[in-house]
Amino acid sequence: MPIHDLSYQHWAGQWTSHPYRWWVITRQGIALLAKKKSFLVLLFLSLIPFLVRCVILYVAVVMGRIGFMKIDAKFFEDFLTQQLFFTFIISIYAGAGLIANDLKANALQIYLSKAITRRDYLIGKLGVAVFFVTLPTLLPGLLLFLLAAAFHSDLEFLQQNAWVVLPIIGLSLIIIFSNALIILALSSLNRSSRFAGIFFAAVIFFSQILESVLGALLRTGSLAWLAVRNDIVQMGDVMFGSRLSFQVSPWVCGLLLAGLMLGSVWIIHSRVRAVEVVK
Amino acid sequence: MIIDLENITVEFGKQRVLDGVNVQFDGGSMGLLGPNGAGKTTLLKTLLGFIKPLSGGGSVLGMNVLSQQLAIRQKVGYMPENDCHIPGMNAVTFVAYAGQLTGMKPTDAMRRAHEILYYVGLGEARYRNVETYSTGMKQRIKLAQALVHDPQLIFLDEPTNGLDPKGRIEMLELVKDISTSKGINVILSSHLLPDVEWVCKDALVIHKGRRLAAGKIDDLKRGAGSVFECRVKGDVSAFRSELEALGCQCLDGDDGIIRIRMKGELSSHVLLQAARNRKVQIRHLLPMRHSLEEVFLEVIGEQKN
Repeated sequence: MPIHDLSYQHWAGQWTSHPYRWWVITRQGIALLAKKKSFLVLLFLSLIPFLVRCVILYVAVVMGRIGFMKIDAKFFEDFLTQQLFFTFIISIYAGAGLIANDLKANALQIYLSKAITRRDYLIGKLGVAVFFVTLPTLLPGLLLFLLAAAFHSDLEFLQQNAWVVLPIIGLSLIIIFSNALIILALSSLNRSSRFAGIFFAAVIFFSQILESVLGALLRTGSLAWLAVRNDIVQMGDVMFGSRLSFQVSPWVCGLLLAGLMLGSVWIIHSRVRAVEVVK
Repeated sequence: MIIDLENITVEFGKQRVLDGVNVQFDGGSMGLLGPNGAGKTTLLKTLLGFIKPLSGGGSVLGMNVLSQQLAIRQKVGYMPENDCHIPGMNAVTFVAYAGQLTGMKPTDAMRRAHEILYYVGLGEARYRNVETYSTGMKQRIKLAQALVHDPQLIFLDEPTNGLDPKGRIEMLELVKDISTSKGINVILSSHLLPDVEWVCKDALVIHKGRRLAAGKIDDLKRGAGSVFECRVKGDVSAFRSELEALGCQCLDGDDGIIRIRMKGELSSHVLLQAARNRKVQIRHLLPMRHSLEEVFLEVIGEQKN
């Protein structure tokens, strides 16, 4: 009777197709973060404004207290700008270690020795940050709109506000990608996720403090573009057709955000390599 | 041909790290030998497509190293030299993840991860976080992630680094088993000659980015000509001068022993004939086998000269 070798078997299964290989990285990143209870608590906290607005919608539309709060484009814009604080915190928690931890553990050579490209790796990591920043912005933003449409018994609300879906998606995407790309770039700059988190806070919060201090000293509102948050708010005003919050050209804000995102892409692309070459 | 590289040159800035290296590997197990900084890791990384060579090209498993890197990496396993893992995972998740990155389906990858972890001796520790592993266990997990997708060829970069003697022997036995019983071709990069001698049949010696010697280890040990240890009674200087006239090298050893390197294909018959001609008695004659270390030092020495 033959004795079978149970120690090592050759494998002859089917390979998955390459175009979705980045999804393996995104899926694993999401699964790892979803195991952290503190992060789940943070995600739940970030949904509280959404729940509050659901109640407001119910009171204003279903209970008929129209004067309680006007349900128009501004209602949705305010919700998204209100979520900015949570997106910053979630970005730090979910994104600061995405590349930094891999650099620290020398994991890049493991990733890139497999059948994936540098682009797959970057898209996979970006996917993790994008997923978690989508949860408090785009997803509840669209749900809120659907809820508002459902609460209204006639089609008048939809006829008047259907266009709001586009700015909800547009502003959400600006929030999502600006946060995700900046935190990923900072994460790729150092082996310490703490460094990335602190630097991200500096970029987001300290830029606002700097703008406030300089604005007060020089008695001008034209420096509002210095703060990333203001740039995002200004873009939201343009998209939702609201009165501009700051005395700055939206073009300046838009260009600054675009520059930040492109700069982040450049940093990530140049930092993520399988071989570290010391010239 | 498993690996066929022609004239590979790699530069980092102004520094030439590989200088016109040729590699031919028919399969089995090959040791990549050289001192630290010789260019061994760079050669492996070039084979994996991490580094684009300045010139040269070739194929790995019949696929072009310059244009089919993804296809190559699907068929090749790589165990890096330094400590590396994917943070926040236990061993089985890590190895399964490595399988999925190569293109295995999640269920296949998970089943295979369990099998491989048992094979490398981490079966009992497979649910422990990799970050808590000892150095020996980390070496094994690196081997497991390189094997999970059942590669046809595996690159092992200093697999015994940091291991105690027992761990080193276990790792070498594992590598030997992979290459001899499992039909996986192995390229073992090491600066430790006994490791290469233990596992491999072929060797490629690299020094300062240049290929110095290549071939079957037994052939390399034999050297350019046969070497004999010989002790004679009689006119030793006449015996030596006759051999030196034929192009052989004679070196003095201990206890009156002469170490004779024969020229080219000359055999021991020439030696016996010289003794007869000079009427000396041969009291001791022993064919010598080089150790790989001697071969290595010899080729490195030749390069220095």
